[in-house]
Parts: sequence; C-alpha cells; structure tokens
Amino acid sequence: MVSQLPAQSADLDKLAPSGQFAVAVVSNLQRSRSSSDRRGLVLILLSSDLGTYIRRLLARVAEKACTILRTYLGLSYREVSVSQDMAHRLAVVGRKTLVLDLDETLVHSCYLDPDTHDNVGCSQLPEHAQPDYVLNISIDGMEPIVFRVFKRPHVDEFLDFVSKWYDLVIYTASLEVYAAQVVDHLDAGRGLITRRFYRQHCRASSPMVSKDLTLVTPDMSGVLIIDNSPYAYRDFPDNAIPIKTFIYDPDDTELLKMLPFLDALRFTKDVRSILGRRVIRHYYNRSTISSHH
Amino acid sequence: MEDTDQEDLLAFERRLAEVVNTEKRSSLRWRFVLGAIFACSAISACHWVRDAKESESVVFQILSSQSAFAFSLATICLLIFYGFNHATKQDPSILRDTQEMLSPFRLNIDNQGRLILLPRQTE
Repeated sequence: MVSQLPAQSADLDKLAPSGQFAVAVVSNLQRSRSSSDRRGLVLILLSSDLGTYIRRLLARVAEKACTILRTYLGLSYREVSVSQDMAHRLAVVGRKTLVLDLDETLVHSCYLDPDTHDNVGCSQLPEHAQPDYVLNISIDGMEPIVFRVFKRPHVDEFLDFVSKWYDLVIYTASLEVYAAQVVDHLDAGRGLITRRFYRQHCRASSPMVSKDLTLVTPDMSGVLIIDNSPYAYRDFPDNAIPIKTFIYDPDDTELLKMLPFLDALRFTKDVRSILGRRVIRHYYNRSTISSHH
Repeated sequence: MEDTDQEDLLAFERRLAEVVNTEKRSSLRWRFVLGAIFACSAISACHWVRDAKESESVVFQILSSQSAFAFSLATICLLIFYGFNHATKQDPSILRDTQEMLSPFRLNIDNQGRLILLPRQTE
C-alpha cells in the first residue's frame, strides 16, 4: 500500500481511505526516529565528558546554594553537646587559657604613616573595602593617625565560642594605645577579653619581638597561643597553633576551621601532648642570626 | 610515648569524633529531606499529568506533541536531582577542615573520626 502511494499521487482524492493510512504510517516513522534520537541523547549525556561536566557543574551549584543558605541562616558551626564521661574528663583537666594575637590574626589595619606619608598595610586592599572600625589614635601627643581596621571574617562568632571554652587573653606586639581600642571594639561590651598584653610586655630582641607566655600563666600545660607569626612564639613551640596571615580576605574561613580543633583540645591534660607534635621547620631568620655570629 | 600523652590523645580523639560524627548525621538528615521532597514532587507531577490529560489542557497537548522536549525536560530534572544528591554525599566540610588543621601536628582523621598518628619524618 505504501509503495503504491507515489504512483497514484494524481488520483489522491479518490483514494481518501488509503490517504489516511499513509498519514498513520508517516506518524509511526516519525515516532520511531524520535525514539532513536532519544536513545542517542541519553547515551551522550550519561557516558560522555559532557555528562561528567554537567554533573560537576550541578554539584558545584548545589554546594554554592547550600553555602548561601547556610550564610543566610547564620549556621556555620553548631556546638556539639558534651557526653557525660567527657564532661567528667573536662572537670578533671580544668579550664585552659587561649592567647590570641591581634594584628593579621583577628584583624587587619591600614593607616597613613605621618612621617613618610606612606600607606601602611593598604597595598592589598581594594578600593571598595569598607573598614569595620575607623580609629583616631594619638601617639605621644602627636597629630591623630587614622586607622582603618578590618575584622577577620567570623571573628565575632569565633570569640563567642572560644570564650565559652577557654579563658581568653590578647597578646599583641602593637602599642597599647592602639590595641586597647581595637580589643574594646572586638569585645563589644561582652566582657570576653579582660586580660591583655601589649608591646611593653613582649621580649625585645632584634629583629623581631617575641611573646613571653609565662606572663600569662606559669603553668605551661594549660596555655596555647594562636599567632600568624612563628617568631612570636619561638620560645614556646609546643604551645602554639599556627594560623594563616589575614590581610583583607572576605572569604577567609580560618577561624571557623579552627573551632573543632580547639573544642577537642580542651579535653587534654597537657596541651603539649597534641601541640608538641608540630613539625617545626627552621626559619631563615634563625639562619640570619647564626650567620651574624 | 608517655601515659599522659596517650591519655590526652584518646580524649582528644573522642571529642573530635563526637563533633565530626554529629556533622555526618546532619548530612544524612539532609539526604532524607531531599528524598522526601523528590518523592512529593514525583507524586504531585503524576497527579498533574492525570488532571491535565482529563481536562485536555493546552499545556499537556503541547508537551505530548513535543515528546523530545518533554523527555529533555525530564532528563534535566533528573540531572539536577543527581547533582544535589552528589553534593549531599560529599564528605562534610568539617571533616576536610579538621584534617587540614591536624596536618601540622602529624595527625589525620578518617571518616569515622578516628585519629591517625603519622610518624615523624627523618630529615
């Protein structure tokens, strides 16, 4: 019947019933072809690099959506309740002291040097950067210097958590007149940071200052310091947790990453059991000092 | 290794395992939520198709006539679902962050929160 269709095209009107059948046949062919196309499409999507790329893209989109949702809801670290035996362990080992550096660990500041008229600490700041605090600091009766202070992301949340776990101490190599104001802003009236040590409490030795943790507490088993500068804690390597230097990075998450570690560390009797395992590399500064001798 | 060190490492490990495993349970919960949402979507889609077929709606006629487009749309939905499922199956970020924090101290942690002591490298 189908093969006869072209030959009898002149008499198509007379063969109306046959015409309907021909239309049905054409529909079947079209459907069949569509089915073949569908199978090919499935194979392409599932087995080729395009499929892999699409899967990775969607996974990334989903992860990004979760991140946005998490940020929107304010969920970034949820405190895990302490089990009974761990609570007993915590009571036995006692509360420890956490020493925090200030500049380039919790905040980053940028100011104009009145002597050289150079911007200090501003080279990596974009034009649109908005400081969290603007301080006018007058040093030794000179004209006030404007400090633009940027908080490390999640620093408020970090301080909320660690203040529940540790006694907090700020130990900075900055001048007291500047650091006191910055710490007051960080504390924001919460009374979390009452003990503070400034530049006058540091050990002065060329070329860099270091920090004397024995001033904080004589018991070295319960004190730990977080500092971006390894030289600051060179005299107490078994009590130190390194952290990356912070210079204006809105996506920085170093403080959040540290929370589970700090949470678990308070259950130790001696923090040096964990922190003493750190791999200590030899610094060039030490080599330089040796070469001078 | 001294007894104090061993005891401290055990306490450290137990607390770290509590924190990490709680996060993993949260991930599992999200997968259940996702499965439930997908099931509800599938059921509601079936109801919608039935209603559309009975009422001879324009949308259903368009979809049925363009079978290739309808199939592509379904495929895209499946791929989106697969992507979300893949995202939720990933290791929780708290595990990766903790491993990164532990590496300077020659420590590592597995998926169950067990502590792995790495030996000191001889230089």
